[in-house]
Amino acid sequence: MNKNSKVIALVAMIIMTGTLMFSWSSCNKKAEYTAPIVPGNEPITTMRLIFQNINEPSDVDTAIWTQLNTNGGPIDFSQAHATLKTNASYHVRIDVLDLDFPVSNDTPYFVTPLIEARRNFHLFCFQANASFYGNFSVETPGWGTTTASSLNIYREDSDSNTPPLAVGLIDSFVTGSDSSAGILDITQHHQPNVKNGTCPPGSLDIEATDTIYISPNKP
Amino acid sequence: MKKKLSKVYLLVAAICFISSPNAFGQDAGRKTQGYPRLMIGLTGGVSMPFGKFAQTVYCNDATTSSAGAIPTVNYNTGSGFAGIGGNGGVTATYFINKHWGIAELFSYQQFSNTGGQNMALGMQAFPGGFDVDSVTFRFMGKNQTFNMLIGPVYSISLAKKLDIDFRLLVGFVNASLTGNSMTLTDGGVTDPTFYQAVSWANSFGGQLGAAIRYSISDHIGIALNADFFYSKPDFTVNNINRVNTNGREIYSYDEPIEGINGNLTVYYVLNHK
Repeated sequence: MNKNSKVIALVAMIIMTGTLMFSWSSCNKKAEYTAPIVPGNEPITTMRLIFQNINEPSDVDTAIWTQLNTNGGPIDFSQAHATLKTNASYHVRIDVLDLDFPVSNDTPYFVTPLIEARRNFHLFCFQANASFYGNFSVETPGWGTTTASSLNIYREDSDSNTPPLAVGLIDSFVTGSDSSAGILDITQHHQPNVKNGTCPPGSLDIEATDTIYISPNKP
Repeated sequence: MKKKLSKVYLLVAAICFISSPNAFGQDAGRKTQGYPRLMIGLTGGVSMPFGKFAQTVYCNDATTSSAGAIPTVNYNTGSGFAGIGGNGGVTATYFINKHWGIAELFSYQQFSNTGGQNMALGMQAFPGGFDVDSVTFRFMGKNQTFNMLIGPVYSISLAKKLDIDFRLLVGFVNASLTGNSMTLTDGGVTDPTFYQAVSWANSFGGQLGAAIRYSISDHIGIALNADFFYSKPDFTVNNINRVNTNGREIYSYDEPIEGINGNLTVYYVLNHK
């Protein structure tokens, strides 16, 4: 082999090695991608609960909790209350709204359809706030069970997870036999890929508090 | 009929001319050494995938029947997120006569990962994803193949020291499909990471191509190869820690791994005929 041939062979090998190194180094680049942060979930200023007595359809009540400035602004509790009869079952529909950006002057923006569409990773939770009415108790038992609480809440809707998990936009509120009053905390949880039927995973979209009166005689 | 026959004669004559020993002055450079009997080579170069394997599309579209209904998202489950990569290997060719031979190739092929940003954005958005503040997506492992191929080679001398080789190689391909991990953050809460595990599968595969081969000396030669490669492994994909039904999730992948290899090969001729 003459000198020129050796040089050409050497150059060829160098080019080949270089090509390989370049190709493989491009494969080994840091392979991590972060989607730009888009803060804030569904904008929700208002949670509205509509109660309808299953046995007395004319027995309807509404509780509306509003906080227009979601960054810690004042809360409007003026309509955040409802009165339910003892030993009664109520069909309850939860609506979440954005009053900051209404569709028109008299039409609020309903966030509820967005939550329905995203039901696979949303859950509504209910619990008694004992800070004011100490004896008020709320449970969310599974179907077929009733606990001795002032209010048993059964979530009626479910998602398309496997197995299906409850959502809570549609519920049944079953009252106990005793007159009572209490503050009900209603929280909407955003649980992306962590929804397991319990409340703790994920983050909070909104936390509303309504005062619930349970009485044998409704005014 | 006469016209048809004359066309056949012309075709046969052309084939005879191309394959004849004197075509393109084949014998001119072979008076002392003849044609190489056995060559071994080191090969390496660029692998350029195409087809669905190279796609980086998260989802095609989403439809919904009514407000509030969970949208039906048409995820693009064929996207392989494979980018340009490299390959390297060892090849050997044994010529039975001046034109025909048998070649084998042991090679390793690796593709870069690409389109990760599409996955991150797709998982972040809704519909199609989890509607979260932030998604961190990471590729895990490589799209790669190990190939053991064998097949015929047909060689034509173009000029002194210059040949063109055509080859069709088929055989065994062991492939891996890159995995990934996804971390969702929403409302200041970072959820546990979930994974698409790296998958392995075996397949029948092959490559078809041509090479321009130049003899630097009696024993050393270089070649520029261009080969179409193809295999279709059927991967079973495991998803780990995937809790809720949402976002792009694949359970199998059986799209072709195909593309073009552009290689440089350095040959050593062990003996000549």
